[in-house]
Amino acid sequence: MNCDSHREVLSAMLDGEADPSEIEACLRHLESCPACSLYRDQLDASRAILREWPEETFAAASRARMSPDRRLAAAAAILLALGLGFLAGRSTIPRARLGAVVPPSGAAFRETQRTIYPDLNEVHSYVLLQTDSSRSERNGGLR
Amino acid sequence: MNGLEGTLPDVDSAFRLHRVDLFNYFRRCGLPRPAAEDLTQSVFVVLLKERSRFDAGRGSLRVFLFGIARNLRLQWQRGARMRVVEWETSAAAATRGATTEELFAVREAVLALPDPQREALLLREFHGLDYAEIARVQQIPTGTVRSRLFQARDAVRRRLRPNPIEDEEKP
Repeated sequence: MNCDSHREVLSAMLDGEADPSEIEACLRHLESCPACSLYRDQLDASRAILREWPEETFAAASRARMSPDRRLAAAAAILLALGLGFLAGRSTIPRARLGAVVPPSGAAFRETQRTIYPDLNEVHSYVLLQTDSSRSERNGGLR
Repeated sequence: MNGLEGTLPDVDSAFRLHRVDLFNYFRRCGLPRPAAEDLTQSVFVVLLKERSRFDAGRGSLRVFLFGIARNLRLQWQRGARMRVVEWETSAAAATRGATTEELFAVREAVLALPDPQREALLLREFHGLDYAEIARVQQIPTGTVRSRLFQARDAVRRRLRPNPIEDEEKP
């Protein structure tokens, strides 16, 4: 094996994906190769910096940025899936939580979703907002 | 994973568990924030529509989601016809160990990588996918994952190294 091969093993070792035999050969090589030892140090150092790349927060405000087409697509997809779930009588929602649910139609349907999802996440609250605003627009109401 | 075969994934739980991860995947791939937010939500719209395709026996939901994310990202990049390079200095300032210059350099190095190498590196370093999982997302052999990661790390290291190694040419 040449230096490049051993350096690839060093990379795989970082991931715990190197074979024991190649690890042993690589470590033996490092003892006699200052360039590869330096390489390992640089690899470790650059990786440490890379891993400090900060994580960003997913903004709840993203709803306002969705394109109208995607809003409608999302709303349609989710409502369709929920509707089909009800019709098929095998929603993913635990049956115990469906006990007091009204039939899913119109305003009652939206209220049903609120009942089922008391901790509305962004997708569902977004859908509810969208369907509400669409209805208002159709009825000539204010947004 | 075992025992989930035949059940549909719960979109609510998936959204809560994976949205930040997926959002940061898009961001680190160089997408601007609005596109990253949009695509993050699109992942779950696709999941909702296609969750019957998910087979827990073939891999985790997380890997399935990254597969969706990858397809959406590639579609978006084809539409945008550009490689977006965006940098938020405020984000760099929020970290402790590395200097802002180092973080800028490492980000530049990652964004300069060929797309398959960059994605493999991000999936490994930030999202904890192992070689088999990355291979599934990228639809390549695991041996290719290993070489992609080596090449990606080598490129990042070259960008950040204080001194060239004696058997390497100077930058």
